[in-house]
Amino acid sequence: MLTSEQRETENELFSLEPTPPSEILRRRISDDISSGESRRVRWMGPLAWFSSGSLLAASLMVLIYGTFTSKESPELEVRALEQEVLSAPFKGEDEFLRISDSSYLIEFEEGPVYLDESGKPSRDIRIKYLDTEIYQRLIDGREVTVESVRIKLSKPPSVSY
Amino acid sequence: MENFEIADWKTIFDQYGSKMLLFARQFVPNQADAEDIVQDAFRRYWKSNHLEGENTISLLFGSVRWAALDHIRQNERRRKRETLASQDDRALNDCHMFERSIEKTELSDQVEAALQRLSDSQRQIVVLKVWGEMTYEQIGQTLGISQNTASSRYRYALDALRRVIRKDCYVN
Repeated sequence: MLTSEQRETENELFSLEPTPPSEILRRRISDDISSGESRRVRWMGPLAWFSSGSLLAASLMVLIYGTFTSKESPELEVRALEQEVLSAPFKGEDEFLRISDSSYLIEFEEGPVYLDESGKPSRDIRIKYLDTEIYQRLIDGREVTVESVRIKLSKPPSVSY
Repeated sequence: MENFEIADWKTIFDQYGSKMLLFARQFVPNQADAEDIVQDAFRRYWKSNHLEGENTISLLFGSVRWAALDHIRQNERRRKRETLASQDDRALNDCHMFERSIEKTELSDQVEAALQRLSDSQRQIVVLKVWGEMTYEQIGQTLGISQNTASSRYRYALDALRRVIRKDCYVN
């Protein structure tokens, strides 16, 4: 319980309003947050899930078929198209310990058909992963989760039917 | 509970921005550095993908505290050089902590000066309690101290502030 004098002092403090932040700060934060928009997880609707599942199943069938039918069993060639690096989220990173990381396939789509160097029709699959890293703050054990979206271009082996 | 969406940050900024800035000012002597800290704190809060709930305010102010401590560590050398070079602290204190309406100018100056005489811990607790409108429990979570410690330091701080403010009144 506060004394009457303490309460009086407290009321004087309450009467003061902190200086508001500048408009420049608002714009800087807006830019920060807008540039980090893609880290959000966009949950797909049932139709999108069905479409994605069908596409994944078809792709797997093609890959398996290709593996067993082609003579050299070419491996899936994967190359990074773009990657949004959010893996250094804190300036005081030494105060955090990364305790887990995982990666989930969240979306993929077939690219347009094009002719490869040998002139054969080819098509890439664009795969989107959600990488999740969990950090633990050493001082109090509080956990912080950082999510980032990573996109890879997968090129299935050529299959002759 | 809803995910922290992009549009939500503006609401949070409007509600807590000035309070976070005042809290940041308790770590650094000028408004520009304090704004850097608040920006960093928002970035940390945003990246934590926090779900809004009861701990939102503690996390926000906790983010300011961690951003401020990092800022101080990183800028210690630079600050020493600048202080030696300029020897002019007024240039670094170019903005007041509180809005200065005509009738509150004197009190604003007194409180600002009195806050500077408190210990770091007391000053932070006063800002979180009065302008952050946090409970002792939330203050304890933010500063890593017990609820009782937060409460007793707050009372001591109010007594100390009262002494300084009254003394200034008599002097003037």
